[in-house]
Order: sequence, then C-alpha cells, then structure tokens
Amino acid sequence: MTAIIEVNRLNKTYGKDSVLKDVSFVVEQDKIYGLLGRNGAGKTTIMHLITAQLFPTSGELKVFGENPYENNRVLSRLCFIKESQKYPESFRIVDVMDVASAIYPNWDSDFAGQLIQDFRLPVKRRMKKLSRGMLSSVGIIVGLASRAPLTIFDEPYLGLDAVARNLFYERLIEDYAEHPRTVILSTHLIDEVSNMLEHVFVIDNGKILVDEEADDLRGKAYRAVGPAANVNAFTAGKNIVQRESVGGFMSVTVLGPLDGSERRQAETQGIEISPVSLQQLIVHLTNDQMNREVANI
Amino acid sequence: MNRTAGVLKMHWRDKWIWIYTPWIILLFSFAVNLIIGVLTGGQENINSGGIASIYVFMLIVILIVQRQTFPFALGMNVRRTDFFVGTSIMGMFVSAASSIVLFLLSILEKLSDGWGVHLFYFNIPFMNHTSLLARFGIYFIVMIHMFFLGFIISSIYLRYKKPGLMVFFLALFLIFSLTSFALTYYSRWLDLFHWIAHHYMDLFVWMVPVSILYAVLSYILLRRATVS
Repeated sequence: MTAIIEVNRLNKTYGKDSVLKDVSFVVEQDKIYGLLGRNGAGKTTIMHLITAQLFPTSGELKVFGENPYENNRVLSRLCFIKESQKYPESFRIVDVMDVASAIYPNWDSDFAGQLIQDFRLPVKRRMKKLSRGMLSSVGIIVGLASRAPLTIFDEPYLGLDAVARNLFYERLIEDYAEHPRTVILSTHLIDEVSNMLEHVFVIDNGKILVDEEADDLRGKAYRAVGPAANVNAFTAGKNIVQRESVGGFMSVTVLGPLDGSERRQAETQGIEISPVSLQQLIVHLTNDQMNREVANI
Repeated sequence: MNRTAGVLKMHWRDKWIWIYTPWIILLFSFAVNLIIGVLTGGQENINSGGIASIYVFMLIVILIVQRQTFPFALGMNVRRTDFFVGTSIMGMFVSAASSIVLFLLSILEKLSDGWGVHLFYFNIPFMNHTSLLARFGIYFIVMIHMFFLGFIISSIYLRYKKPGLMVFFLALFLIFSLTSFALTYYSRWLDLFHWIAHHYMDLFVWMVPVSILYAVLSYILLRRATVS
C-alpha cells in the first residue's frame, strides 16, 4: 500500500492554545477515510494543514511523499472542500465551475453538468444568493468532478436535506468505484456514512483517539441487555462505558471483544447481545468522562 | 494545466470590478466636467484633475479583489505563488489597457482643443512639455504604482489581519507627522515644493523601483498568509 499522507508528531498551537497535540497517522491510497470527532476537536485544522492553508507549529507532514507547502506536484493532486469556503462576491455557480475546470487537472465537465442537474442547482445564480444547502451542493460537485487523487470533504453537507445527502453518498460511491482515489470525509453524521468508511480516525481535544479499520472498530464494543443481576455478573470486570437500568432490566455497553464462549454464556442467562453502532461508539469515546477508557481500546 | 492561467481566468470572470466600474466612474466624472464646460461656453480653460479618480479606484480594485479571491484561490488549492503571479499579470494588463485608452483620449482631447469647450480632462498641464511616449509612460507607471500600493496593503491584511493594518497605518501616520513637523521646524516646506516643481519627472521614474519593492514585499507577505 502506498502512503498518501504521512503525519508525524504534528502540533498546532495558537498562543497558549494547543489545537493539535502530537498527532501522527498514515493515510493509504484508494481508501475512504472518516475523520470523526466533536466540534473544535481539531478536524478542520488537520485538513487545513494537509492542504498547506495553515502552517504547523511543529512536526512532520508529507502528502504524496512531499511537503505540500507551495508545492504544485502535491496541490494539483488534491481537492479540499470545506464548509467555510469563500467565493468572490460577483461569482455565479457557472463561474465557480469554470474556474474549477481551469484549476483541477482531472476535471470532468460532463460529470459536473450531470451533478448540477441532479442537485437541481440554478447555474446562473450568484453564490451569495444561494441557500446554505445549495452552497454545500456546489462544494460537493467541485469535490466529485475534480476527481483529485486525494479528495477531502470537511462537513460537506451543512444544510442539505436527506435526499441530497443520499445523492451525494450514491454519486461518491459510484464514481469511487470507476475512478478509485483517496477520500477523507469529516462529518458529524456518522451513522449515515459508517457503511462507506473503510478506515476511521477519531480525534478529540487535538489528539487521535482511534485509528482503526472500520470493520475492526465495529467488533470493539457490544451491548448486553437482560435481567439486572445477570447482566451485572456477566459484565463484571469488563470495560464498561455505559450503564442504564429500567425496572429489573439493565443495558450495559462494553468496550472490548466478545468471544464465542462468552456469547453462549450470555445466551443461557437470557442476556441479549447487540452490536453498537459506530456513532454510539464514538459518542462514548469522545464523551469527556469516558476518555480514560480509551487507553484500553 | 498551468495554474497561473487558472488565477487569470478567475480574475477575468470579475471584469465588472476590474474594468467596468473604474471606467464608469471615470466617464461619469468626465461627463459632469463636459456639461460644466458646455454650460460655461468654453470661455475658460478647465483643468479638471478628475482623471485621478481612475487611479484611486485602481488601488481600491485590488483591495476588494484580493480580499475576496485569495481565500477562494487557496481554497481551490492554488499555490500562493501562482495567485501572486496571476494577480500581478492581471493588474499589469488592466493598467496597460487603461493607459492606452487614456492616452488615446488625451490625443483626441488635444486635437479637438479640449472637446470644443477647453476642457482638459485627460491632459494634465505639465504634460504639455512632455513627449508622447513620456505621457503614456506616466499614465502607465502611476497606475502600476497605485495597483501595487493597494496590493501591499491588502497583503498586510491577509498576512497579519487587522492588527497588522493598524500597526501599518499608525507607523505611516507617525512618519508623516514627524516629517511634517521637521519640515515646519526647519522651515523647509518651500524647499520641498521647489524641489518637486523642478524634479517631478524624477518622481515618476522613482515609482518604478518603488512599485517593484511593493511587489516583492507583497509576495513575501503572501507566502506566509493563511486561510481558515
């Protein structure tokens, strides 16, 4: 596997505020990554550093094996779509598409035209007159039609309705199948994208909490529901992240693997075992009180 | 594809602010002067000076354009260098084109003896003594100078944001105050005016290296400018 991004002990501070603390990770070629975490966790900062729009305070950062700063060999191969993207006041949607086609080497005009129809965008309308959802759609279209070997979406669907979001997922998956590339998706809507993601990074408070294959991560936790006494006994000594009881019943979320014998044991005691969704897992992980548990994952 | 071309294309999409608006303002001011000329029956020479409007607007153009297009261009993963080169080329192109039109209008003004009403809008009095080439040169150099002056001011903003501009203008204010105080204290104002009266052509010549200095400093500032 070829490494597209290599980040080594990256730090970013603003005055005394430390936004990223010793962040290290590797992104491999032609996979879909999820960069998940709460607001202000440092997701956007990482993406700004990768695209050299911000400068790291210290640490090493390589994109396509090189420093991205003022480097067209790197920058011409990536496309970063961010929620905070600004457009010149007088620009209409057609102007943005036109400039994008001049800037991105792999730009596919037909594909862009098709997407504009799919998202029902008024091409002659000025960017500043667009609704939040339409603005997001423009970003999504640029991101997809640029076909950049490294495409980064930062919260790409603010204000988009469920239909449009689905359209985005569909087009992304279809086009990814035909034109494999590395995609990094940063989002809050974890459940919606969880099936798409092949690898997950969870960042919290400027630190990487989780760096796992999505499939492995799904097996990292489970929920046991059953009679309180049985459940208590069953989960004793295990890494419990959440406990809820209603009447005589109890539901406990446990971090850690579950082997076959334990599964059979649970069955005989009337305890129901169910998987924990990626979203729930991440909510548990990034919940402040639970941070101490993470060391064990 | 060459990304400087992409930056040029981006600016070219904004012809309204780069080209139309400055010329509309200039021509409007010219029309007002012309009406005054007609009303006064052309009995007196009018040396309007209204041509300065397009020069002032050239500075405003780059202030507006750079603030809007730099974050956009960087967001589209364009290098800062490509942005600088593309924007400079656009500025020089617009300055050259505008200077050519100003130059042609000034010739027309001479031929028509001030548009028939002794209005000298595009000719400035001292230009009677300069060659045609020098006249075109002055139009062009002053405009380029205004462009890069605006460029460096907006680059200070992009690099250091509001505090940077505050420090810059405070420093500028202090320098002007001190100079003016010193000139008054040593009674040198008249000497200064004499010098300018005799050497104003030198001022235009000096605008060339000064503009280059602005450009270099703008580039250095932009190289470290960030977008978030």
